[in-house]
Amino acid sequence: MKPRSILLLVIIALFTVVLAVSFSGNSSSYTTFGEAKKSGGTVHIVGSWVNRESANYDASRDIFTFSLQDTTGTVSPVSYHDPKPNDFDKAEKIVVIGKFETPDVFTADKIIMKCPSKYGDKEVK
Amino acid sequence: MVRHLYKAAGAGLVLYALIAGLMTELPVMGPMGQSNRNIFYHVPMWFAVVVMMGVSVFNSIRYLRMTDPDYERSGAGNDLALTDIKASESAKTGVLFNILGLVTGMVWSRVTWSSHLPANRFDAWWIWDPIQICALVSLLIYLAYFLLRSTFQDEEQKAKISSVYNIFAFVTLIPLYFIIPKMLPGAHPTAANSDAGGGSFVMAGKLGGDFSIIFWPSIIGFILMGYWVYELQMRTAAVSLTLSEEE
Repeated sequence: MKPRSILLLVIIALFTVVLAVSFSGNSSSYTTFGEAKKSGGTVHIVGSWVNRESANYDASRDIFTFSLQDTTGTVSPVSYHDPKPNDFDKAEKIVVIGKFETPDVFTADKIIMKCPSKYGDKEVK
Repeated sequence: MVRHLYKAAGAGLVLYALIAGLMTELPVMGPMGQSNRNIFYHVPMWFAVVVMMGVSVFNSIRYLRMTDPDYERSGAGNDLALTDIKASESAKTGVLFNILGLVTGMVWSRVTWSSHLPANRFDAWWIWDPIQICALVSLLIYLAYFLLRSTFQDEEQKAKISSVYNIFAFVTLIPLYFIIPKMLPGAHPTAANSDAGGGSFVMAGKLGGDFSIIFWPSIIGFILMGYWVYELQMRTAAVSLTLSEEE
């Protein structure tokens, strides 16, 4: 075997291991508001946007605040350091990635729009 | 004539999937808008990957059986080399579809999951979703297969060892494509926490008539086109092998 090939093989192996580790890190972090409050770490939370009329964007501080209801039914205020994402109203489910920086408000560093999984017939609008 | 029919069928079905998939009026689904049509192109890539890697592991196992002294074979030498070419070329086609699947997925993720982010941000294109990671790992495993092959001078040794590796590579696809996506939550509609109830490679029962009438022909079309690509690559490789032997 050529030394260059061995080096490349080692790099691929290492990269795969790094991926596998990041994997377990990423996947276990899908949780609920209750768990996130206890752990205090960075987590993923899936939920739906509730109390839509109370959501607001504070332009002076560039912070968008809204309420998210997680899968267990717990509602928590979430703040996001950016204007309200486009298509936010249409998203069926929302994934927020972040942590409780203050005891009551979840700070989302990232937001992902989860898409509907039902590729239905015409009645879905 | 008959053995060329599949090519016409594949080309016809892919053409149908392109025209019908882009022109038919389909329900608009929330933030996805018109991008839901990508289901006709992104998902078939992964079906093609599984089929091509299946062809590849079939030929690798066949190769190992042929090298068994008890195995009766005709025209052994040439046939062995050809079987090895079949295994590697179909894996090459599978890698091509794997890359196409990742690219079509990244484009889709940019306009749906992360449409609110500017395009110059990495996470607008890649969010480290469990299914994304699985797909990337499977690509790396097959890239390692080609790297392994490139390290051997001796053709027979190359064929034999890479055949064994290929069996392991194919086995990893089972958890990566069929088990982990069923167990872990994520942004994909097939993830464990999705409304689909989670965890089907094929979104059985979640595909309305409007979609499935284009979806399934598209899958068959891309698989047949993939086989065509593989056959062309395989024959080219076989010809260049014969030429190099004659020199």
